[in-house]
Amino acid sequence: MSPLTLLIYGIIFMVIVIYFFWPVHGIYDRWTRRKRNDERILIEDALKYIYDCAYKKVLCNVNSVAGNLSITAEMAGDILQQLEQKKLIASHDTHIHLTQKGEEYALRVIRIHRLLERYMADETGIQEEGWHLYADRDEHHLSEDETEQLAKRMGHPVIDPHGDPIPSARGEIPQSKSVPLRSILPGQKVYIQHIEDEPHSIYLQILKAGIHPALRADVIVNNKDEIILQSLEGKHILTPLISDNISVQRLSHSGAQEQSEWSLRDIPLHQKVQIINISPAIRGRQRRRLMDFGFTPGAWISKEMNGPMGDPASYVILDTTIALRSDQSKHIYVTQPKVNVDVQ
Amino acid sequence: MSNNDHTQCATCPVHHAGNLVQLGIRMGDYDYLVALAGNPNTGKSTLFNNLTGLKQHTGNWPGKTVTRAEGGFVFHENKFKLVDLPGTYSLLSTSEDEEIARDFILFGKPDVTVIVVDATRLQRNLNLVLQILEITDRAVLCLNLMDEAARNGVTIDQRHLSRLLGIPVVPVTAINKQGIPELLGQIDDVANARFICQPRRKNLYPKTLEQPITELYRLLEVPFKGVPNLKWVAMRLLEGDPTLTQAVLDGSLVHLIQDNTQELTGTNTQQREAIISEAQSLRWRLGKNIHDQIITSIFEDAAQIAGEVITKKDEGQLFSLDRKIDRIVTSKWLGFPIMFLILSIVFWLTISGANVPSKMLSSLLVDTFHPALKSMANNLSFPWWLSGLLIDGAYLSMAWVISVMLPPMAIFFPLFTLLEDFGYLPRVSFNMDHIFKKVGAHGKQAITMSMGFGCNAAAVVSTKIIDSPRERLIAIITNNFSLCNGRWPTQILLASIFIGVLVPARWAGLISSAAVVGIALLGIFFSLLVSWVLSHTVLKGEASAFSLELPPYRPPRIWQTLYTSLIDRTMIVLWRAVVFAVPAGLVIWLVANVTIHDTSIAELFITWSDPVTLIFGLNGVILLAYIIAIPANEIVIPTILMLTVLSTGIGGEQAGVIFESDSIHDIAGILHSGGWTVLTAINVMLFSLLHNPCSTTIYTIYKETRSTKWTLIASLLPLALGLITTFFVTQIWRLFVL
Repeated sequence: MSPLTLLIYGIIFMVIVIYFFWPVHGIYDRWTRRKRNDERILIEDALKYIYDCAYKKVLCNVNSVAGNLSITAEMAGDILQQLEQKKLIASHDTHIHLTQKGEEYALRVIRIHRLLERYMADETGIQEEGWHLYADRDEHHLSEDETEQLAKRMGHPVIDPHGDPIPSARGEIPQSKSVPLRSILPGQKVYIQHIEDEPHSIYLQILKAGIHPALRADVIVNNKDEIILQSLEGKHILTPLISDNISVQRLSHSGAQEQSEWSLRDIPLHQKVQIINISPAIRGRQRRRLMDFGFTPGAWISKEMNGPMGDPASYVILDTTIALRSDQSKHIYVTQPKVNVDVQ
Repeated sequence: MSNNDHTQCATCPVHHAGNLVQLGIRMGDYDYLVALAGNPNTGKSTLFNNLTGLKQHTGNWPGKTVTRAEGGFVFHENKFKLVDLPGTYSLLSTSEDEEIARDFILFGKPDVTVIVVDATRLQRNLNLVLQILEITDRAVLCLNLMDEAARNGVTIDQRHLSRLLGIPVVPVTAINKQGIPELLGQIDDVANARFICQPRRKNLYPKTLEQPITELYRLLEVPFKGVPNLKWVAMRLLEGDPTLTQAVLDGSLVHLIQDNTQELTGTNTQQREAIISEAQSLRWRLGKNIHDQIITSIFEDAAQIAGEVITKKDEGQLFSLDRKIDRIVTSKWLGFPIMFLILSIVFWLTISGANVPSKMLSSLLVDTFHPALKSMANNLSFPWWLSGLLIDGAYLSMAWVISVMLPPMAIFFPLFTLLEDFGYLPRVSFNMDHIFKKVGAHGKQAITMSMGFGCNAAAVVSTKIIDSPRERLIAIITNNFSLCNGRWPTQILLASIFIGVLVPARWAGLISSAAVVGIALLGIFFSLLVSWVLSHTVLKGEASAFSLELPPYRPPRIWQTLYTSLIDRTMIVLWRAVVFAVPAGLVIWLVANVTIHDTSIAELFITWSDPVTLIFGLNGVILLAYIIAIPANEIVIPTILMLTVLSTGIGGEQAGVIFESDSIHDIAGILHSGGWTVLTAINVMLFSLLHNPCSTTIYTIYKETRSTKWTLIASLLPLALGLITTFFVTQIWRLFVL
């Protein structure tokens, strides 16, 4: 065969292989995903959504269910009818609420979902945008036993990485105390309590703005066009639409002390500062390891040098030199250095 | 066995006046069990070696002891069994190492726990000390590295420290065996209860946890009365510790009582389940910061103790030399040049230094012993096939592997180990981390990658230094892209025969070395590319954690290093290679000599596979050589030469006898007559870089990952890449060059 023919065959072969095995969008992944997408999933997702409505005290109907599950209103009607037959939901006029039995079922699914998210956040290398997707995929396939095994392995966590409480195995869950971000006036300080991970596109925009649960920030601007937050990690610009998916708690202003917080990443070389705390954005193994190194509130630390490529930088804590990447050090908050030098 | 040991060891060297008799691993039964615990990189292993006379490798690396090591010694007529636990920073973070250490101290009930700390960094080490004192009643604190502390102007009030902790404190410099007799005396005293420890157990738990801990404590007291440290158990339950939760549920917690004879009495399962469910509802109320609070309060206590006992001459003096060195070797302008210079010197010394001993070994084993063995076989009138199989097959391939593999490894590993012991290697990962971060890997992969240029199998073992499972797996799978010692000679030979001749003679040397360096760089490129792909696809869901400690520089001890690196790395790798080389030698001889209808199996395979391999710009001989020479890349070229001679029918060598000629012209002649072109040479160079790892490495990967799946991926992925690369290179070459 001529080299040209072989070359063409070779390229075709490579294209097919890539097309087939490309992660997420490849044929293989799509196919396995579709296979899983059966009725049980729709039922469980509908229950989850209806529960969520009740938790946030909004009403829901056939249309909003259809919208949330990305299915037609007819299909949604079918699903709801089935749920009603199974005595999982009851409806008054057009709005729907869960029965006792339905609520238990929904809480079970939510427990699995949040445990899985917590597991991915703490124990795996999967990034934030992936947690929800993978949890959504796997939540329907875990048996009760497997769920409890997972919970046990992680030391029975109680809060998921988005800031939501994880229902206990007996189905208990505390009341929510947070308020929507949009209701906060400029000049107030907030603590990000919870980020809604659905719809996914809006969740991605929130992540892109650098918002994560337990972040503390000042609201600088809040008008009908945009909401701007300022935190130690930088400026976060949000549209009012996406800010509806963020719940916060108001923080009282404690004035001077709060003002002098710095991010460890930004301190000048050879300046001793004290650690105030580590942001919850550092989780799991990572967090435990830092604490073992002595990164605890009150410990003294200084930046020793920047690496030849700027990142990582090395820090001296308890007479030991530890190298940290900037995406870790920016989440460690410290006191203001004595001599104020421009941020590097 | 135990009775004999004593008399045998009467002749053992006793290196100081402490009546110490080292027993190595010949322990038999023992009177006392001693656990050796401590932070990583505190000289625990050196101390272990001093006490037992064993030679564990001790590197200047946090986390060297990965599995538990055991040894024994006799002191004052008592036999002690010493268990070296993995170095950990804490017992609360539930990593695998910490669980091993914690469970041994807790459930193994050692008679004495020796806690080794770095005297210069006492405050940080106290975190672990205080945690250990929570769960054991008998411990000795060994203040190691006193020489380093003195050099840095750090003094410790050891009497006061002993009072505060409630256990004996002994200053030691394990490296030159100072303080060992005193340490032994204290271990003996504690073991025989001449010293009664009163371990410090206060201020350890934060105020917020006091009430829930007391609540659980009261519940625990009912079924588990008599178990020491129930408060600690309560604290662990609040943290959701799975081991202890289980121990409460099945009642095995009672085994924590020393000299326990009682069984569980007067309690039922329900009662124990109630404790666990109470613990869980308490955790609900407390939120998720329990762990943070506990560690913080332990460090606060550590800071208080440190403040009372440590005097530093001058803050700025501490490790000032280390910092000066660091400022040069990790600086923006000098960091990389110094790194490349050092690594190039190591590789250059290895490649050029190995030539002479390699030739000597080969003239001894191949040129002298081989004919001698043959004639001996003749005299004993062996049948031709038996002497062929054993001597031409098994012996010869083993001789080849030893003579080409041993010298470079015996040079490379000690050099590398010296850099490691000095403390330079962590700085290499510090410099390179940014690049590896971009591809989703760990900075320490820079080190395992450089080590792979020596030997992939040893480098796969060395990935232990990467403490995060996901990044470690990436480092293991991509290590084969580092061009190892066994492949450099192939590259150099082919480049000088086929690439050098393409340019005028005065440029030949330069161009052929550039080609070899190019292949090595291509390997690094593939290593990074594959790391990126893996970390974004199949390895996405594996656990990840980055941490990199830059230890202080320590003067390497040359003789110790030579010894341990020869034993630890060179000999183990060589032994594995020899084990695989013998059966391969049998196969090589058999395929060349077993005939079907007067044609050898080798020739049949070559004729059959030629058309297929031509698509990849290779030939049947090369394919067969790579299949049967899988034990070691070193014997690929000799096998190719043997098979080429066999299939073309030139030359007078015997079938199945692998050989290499000293003269490049002879080799070039054989290869040309085998139909080799520049394209073939380029493809073999590429294929030598990109093909399955040698059998020693594959076996090592399996041992390290314990997974057939990852071993298969690590073996087949480079092979697939090799076939793809050679295929496209061949077609494009034929389109445009020919």
